[in-house]
Amino acid sequence: MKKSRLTLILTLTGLALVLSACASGVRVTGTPGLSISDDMVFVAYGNTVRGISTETGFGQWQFPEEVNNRIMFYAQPYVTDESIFVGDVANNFYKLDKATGKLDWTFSDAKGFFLGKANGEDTVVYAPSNDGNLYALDAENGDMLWSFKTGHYIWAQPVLSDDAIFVASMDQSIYAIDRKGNQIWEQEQEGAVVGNPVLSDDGKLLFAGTTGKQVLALDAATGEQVWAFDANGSLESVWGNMILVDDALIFSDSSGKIFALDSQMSTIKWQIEVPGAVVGGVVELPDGFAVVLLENETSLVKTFDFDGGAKWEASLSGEVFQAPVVNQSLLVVGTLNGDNLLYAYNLTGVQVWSYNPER
Amino acid sequence: MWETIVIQPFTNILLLIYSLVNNFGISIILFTILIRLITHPLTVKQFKATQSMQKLQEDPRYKKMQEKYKDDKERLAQEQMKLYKELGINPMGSCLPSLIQLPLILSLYQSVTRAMAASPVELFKLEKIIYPWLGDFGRLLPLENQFLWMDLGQPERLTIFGFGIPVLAVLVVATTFLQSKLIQPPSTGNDQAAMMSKSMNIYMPLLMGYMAYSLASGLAIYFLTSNVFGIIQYAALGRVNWGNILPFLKKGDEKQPDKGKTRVVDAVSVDVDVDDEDDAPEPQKGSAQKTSSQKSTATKKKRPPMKRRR
Repeated sequence: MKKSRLTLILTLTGLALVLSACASGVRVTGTPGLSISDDMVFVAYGNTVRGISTETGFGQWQFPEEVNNRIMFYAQPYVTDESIFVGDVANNFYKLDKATGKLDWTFSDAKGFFLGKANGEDTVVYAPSNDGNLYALDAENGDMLWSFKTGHYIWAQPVLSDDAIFVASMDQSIYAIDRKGNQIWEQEQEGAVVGNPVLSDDGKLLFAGTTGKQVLALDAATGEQVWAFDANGSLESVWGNMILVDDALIFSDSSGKIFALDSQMSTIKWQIEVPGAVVGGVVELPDGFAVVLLENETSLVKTFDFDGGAKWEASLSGEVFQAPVVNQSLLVVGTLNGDNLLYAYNLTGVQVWSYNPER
Repeated sequence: MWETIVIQPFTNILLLIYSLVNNFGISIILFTILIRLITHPLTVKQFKATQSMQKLQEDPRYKKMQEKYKDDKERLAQEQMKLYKELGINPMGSCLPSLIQLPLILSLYQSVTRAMAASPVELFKLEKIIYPWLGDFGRLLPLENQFLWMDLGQPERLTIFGFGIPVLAVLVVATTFLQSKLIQPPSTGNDQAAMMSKSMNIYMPLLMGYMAYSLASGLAIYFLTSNVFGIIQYAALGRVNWGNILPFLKKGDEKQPDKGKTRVVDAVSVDVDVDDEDDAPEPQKGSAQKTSSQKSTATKKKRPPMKRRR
């Protein structure tokens, strides 16, 4: 009798573990969140945030020091001179010391994950959350100054101008809010904005790519649509980040088409196609730009000059869903399910180091 | 393979429903009901097979062989197989439908999880499995995650006076318990089965409640709908024992004074052969309690005709 009861308990426990995947709380799949400074790469992935030397590829610190299986990190850290700010999927947002990884403060009042990259200015940090709120936090102590509620997750990094904070929500709207958290305008569009919007140098136009297969330019002051580009219906979803170089807006879609548009007129300057999905978008290099193509369980880093001319490329194991990060000498890619978590290349395409936290 | 054959179609059906009702909570409810309706014939088959097995356990020949060969498992199995054959019962009949349904239910769970896509990677992968010929569902993504007071991607809590009350988890515990109790067949006198069933009535609701408490509320809605629909399904088949939760509905003659438990001998028409009872081997030590319980149950209704025969 006791044996059968024990069997029952073990069976039910096993079922519970299988269904809840051995985790308390909501299970979510994410990619390594990367940021870079001159001498450190910061990677938020799995149960830890790590600081890694750009020179050697060796880990310098990890947060938390004791691994806690209840928290997971996927958001890109936001890096300032002395601190990094990053959130987890247990709804906590942290300020850490950049050099040591020591915890300064924790903000725990959010009701959703933190998957988007924060942004900040002076003594305020803006943290986008999956509960649909943009939280404005006092960078000194983590106190909430205000929050702005949208209708869905916020995955894109907030964009700051002199006059407004621009927030792209997965509710398929872009919002402009003032520095007290009041809405200035809201612009609905077809599809959600996953990648980070870009503001023109003069601050007058805001560009965003959508999963509704469009790239939009909005008037930053009013939110009105200035132009929309869909490549005559051939554009696929634009998932990743875009860059603005001089007046050229460079972006890629999920089918591997890369465009450079005249940012004022939306006319095509040049267009190329690469054989694979570009999910993470485009990242600017000192003399060009890079994308990562997603193929079957492998990825390909491809670099180009600003006219779309191919430069070096490098193949690596694992899937890459996020744009690489770049400093003056290094390009670092974070992978999912690869042999290594990170691959670092110098700007001529030579692999300098790779990083695997389990080694 | 499983992904392509089951999860992808399930996810697309879920998205199709969403495109019609534009509410993910209602889509989960409708989708769960749809899958339960599709698997209804299997459920009916399972009911019937279970019913046959229950009747069989009350068959005196079955009871007799249990006693006779209890120390010879191999022979017992052979004799049981003979009896199954004779009565036209498939011993796997109640397991097979469950085995077929289980992966479907797990796939339902997975497709709900898949459609909730709470991160960019999950959303990208969701977009990739949408059938292009079904329409431009990509523009619907991500699905609206608010339903009533819930964020469907987060564990559910209803905040009342500053306290987060897990209403769905409580409802899931209650309905799982209710479902287990309502479909629990009358005891056949098999104490081990009764104990097993009692344990299930306690642990299963707790397990489901824990999952509803800790997983995304979209999944808790699925658990709740599945339970409620299961009860309706059983009720429609006339297999709900209201007496298990409403004691006043039990017939007086079905009540047994000891511990207030009910021992019912019904449905099976048994021609009791007095010799059979007399031939039954004496209970051995260690099984005396069980045997005596079975005997008292069996004899309660059968005694009057036996007397008449004499």
